Amino acid sequence: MARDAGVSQSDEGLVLERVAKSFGRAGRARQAVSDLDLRVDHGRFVCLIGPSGCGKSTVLRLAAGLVKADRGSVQLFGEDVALARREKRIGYVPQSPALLAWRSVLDNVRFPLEVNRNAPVSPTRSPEELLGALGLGDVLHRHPAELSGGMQQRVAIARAFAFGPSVLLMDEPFSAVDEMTRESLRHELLAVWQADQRLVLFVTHSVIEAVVLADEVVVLSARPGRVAARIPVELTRPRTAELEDSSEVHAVAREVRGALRAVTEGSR
Amino acid sequence: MSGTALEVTERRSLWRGARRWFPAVIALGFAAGVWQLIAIHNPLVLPTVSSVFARLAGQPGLFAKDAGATLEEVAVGAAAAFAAAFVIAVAMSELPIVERAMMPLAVALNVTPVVAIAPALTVMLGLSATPRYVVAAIVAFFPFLINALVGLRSVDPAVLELAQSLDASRAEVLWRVRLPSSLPFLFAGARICLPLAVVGAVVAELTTSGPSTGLGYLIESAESTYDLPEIFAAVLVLAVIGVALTVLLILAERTLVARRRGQA
Repeated sequence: MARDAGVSQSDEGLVLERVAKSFGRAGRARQAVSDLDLRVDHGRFVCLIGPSGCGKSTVLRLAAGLVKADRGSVQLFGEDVALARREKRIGYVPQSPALLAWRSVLDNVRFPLEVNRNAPVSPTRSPEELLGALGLGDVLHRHPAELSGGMQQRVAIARAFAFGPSVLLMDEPFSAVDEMTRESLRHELLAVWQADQRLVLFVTHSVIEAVVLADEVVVLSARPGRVAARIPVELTRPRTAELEDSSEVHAVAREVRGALRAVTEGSR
Repeated sequence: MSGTALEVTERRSLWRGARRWFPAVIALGFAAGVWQLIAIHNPLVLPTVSSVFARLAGQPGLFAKDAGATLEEVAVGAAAAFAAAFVIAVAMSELPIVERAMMPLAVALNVTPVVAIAPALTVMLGLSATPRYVVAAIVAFFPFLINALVGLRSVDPAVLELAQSLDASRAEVLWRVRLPSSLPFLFAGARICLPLAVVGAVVAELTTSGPSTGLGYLIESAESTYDLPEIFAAVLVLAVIGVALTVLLILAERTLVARRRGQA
């Protein structure tokens, strides 16, 4: 297991400890998350789900080092997340594809390699390979405006993998595409991920999506966000598209829905 | 056979072009006809279209020389204005304190009728073409500054977050994200500001006593001899200059910016 260097004495991947974060001015601040503990081990694919406004995105942005916690600590591989960000170990996929309109597909995927060049990167696959794996081999030199929404999101995924980050943080990346595209996107993501199984934290509001993708589904409670339940998904990998309709998936999905219902009722 | 096919497409696109311009050509011809009719009956108020063209054709060298002088003032003034406005816009977008310090001054400069300081510029800078460069530059400066500033800030926040997640430096974000994303706004600014620079140059020629060249100077000297056809001929040349500059900018924008809109 020659998995990515760093601190690999333990399986410690992403660790959020007693994290609190509020937004807005003092006095009228809104608590987004409070007292949140979350651990995601190396090589695990974890989906974060919860009622809207529960702070899912905040958790992800804390993990990406895009916002700073008011209290508690956010660590990646035993070091502070700010340091991990400086070392370019974080692959962030925002909700919108966030592509550069003036660059070709290929040059968009190369963007992470062009900035912060002091950080050592260890890409396992070339941008061309990744784009090919995501079915974009024929549009390398097209511009984003010439692509469909689903294709743009594939480019964003290729871009996140392109520099071989040790962790992938995805913020509802498939929320803007239609259901059919969405289904094939998750299996393409799984196929690309399967090759070197990095730590993934994936925010979604689709129960089926969470179950099909994850090793573990973490349910957050609303206002302030806290971990309400952790549901392991013991399905074999690699997972195929046929799995979507299987009874195993639906059994776990039922469990997740139950946890979600409990959380929503609790907050009323 | 491919040659024939090409010819057919070419002819087709020519025809399409002709159909597109047809209404404008008709309207222009109609306006010229009406003008000519009115002018024939009021020779002291309006020169006939034919007399204006006759004047142009009679001394093409004179008009070309003065058009060249005006164009030079526009080019120098606009280039200086664009360069200064762009540098200041970058400083403003990077450092909010620069914006707070300079924006009120820029706004004040914008609302000041520059014509009012043109005579002073002659006193200050002498009987050279410099005051004309300066007036052209001042007129073109502000709208370009605003456009450049808006352009530099037009970046999708998600893209900025992505760059932040990679710990991209400010210089990298400026060079690889902000500058390219401001490009369409720079073109929009230039399309507003180049015609403004023409206005500035002509106004300066009319009001400052610099060299005896430029279309504004030509108009002023024609005025003293009540030579209406010459004045209108000079105005016509100015109109052609304005249209030509706009067309050039549109062509440049098409080659540089169009691809990002998926119109390659």
